[in-house]
Amino acid sequence: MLDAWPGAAAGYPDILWGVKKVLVSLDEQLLERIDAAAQASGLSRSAWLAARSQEALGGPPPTKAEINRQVLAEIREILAEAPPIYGPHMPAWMEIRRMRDERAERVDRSAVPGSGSPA
Amino acid sequence: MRPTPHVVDASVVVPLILPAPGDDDQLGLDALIDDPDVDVFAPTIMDLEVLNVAARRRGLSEDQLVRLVEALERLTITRTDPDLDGVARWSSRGLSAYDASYAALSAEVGGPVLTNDGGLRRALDRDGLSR
Repeated sequence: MLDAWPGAAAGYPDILWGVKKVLVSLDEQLLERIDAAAQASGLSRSAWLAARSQEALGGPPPTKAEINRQVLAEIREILAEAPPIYGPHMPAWMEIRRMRDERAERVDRSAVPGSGSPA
Repeated sequence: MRPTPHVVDASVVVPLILPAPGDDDQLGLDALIDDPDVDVFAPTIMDLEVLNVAARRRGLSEDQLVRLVEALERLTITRTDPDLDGVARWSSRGLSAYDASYAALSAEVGGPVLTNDGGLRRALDRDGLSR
């Protein structure tokens, strides 16, 4: 579970909370091999390095909390690269409800003979 | 002891992974997915719905969206689709097949659905399947 972020009370998402950025010097060819191995196993570079480090340290397999923490940290990294959200936006439930209703309406329309798009 | 099952829908996952000011509450999903005594399930449509919101709301690039779904898939939520006959039974009660997939999965795993979607919740409440 993520730690509480003081800015949350003000309504701002904590996109970088709990993420430790480290600067590590690696040989270029080693980095290429790491990226290739990460890609082959379907992991990000960060996740692959975390998993291999865990193995090297001889620790137990990651708990659900550790897995989720890593995943949420990766997602926050991705969102940090994205443009910020400005102004009001539709709450998630409303956005999703609208998508669900739109899909259902499309199916309803296509089920009624003669109600399809005009040729 | 058998873990307690729960089903989650996209309206709860979005506030957890794509938080925005004034958004819905994630209803304690962060604690549920971490809990070793709880199994959290979702039909695969949940990932598609979250992807849709991510693409619309955040304007992520192709590479960012791909990385996002790769991470999303690793959250400790077990994706499993309910039997289609269960979906059909719920659809016959007036739910769209999409809403019915959550209801049918909830009935199948024997756990409530965690949702912020009032329409889905009301439908599930009639059968005591929401939380």
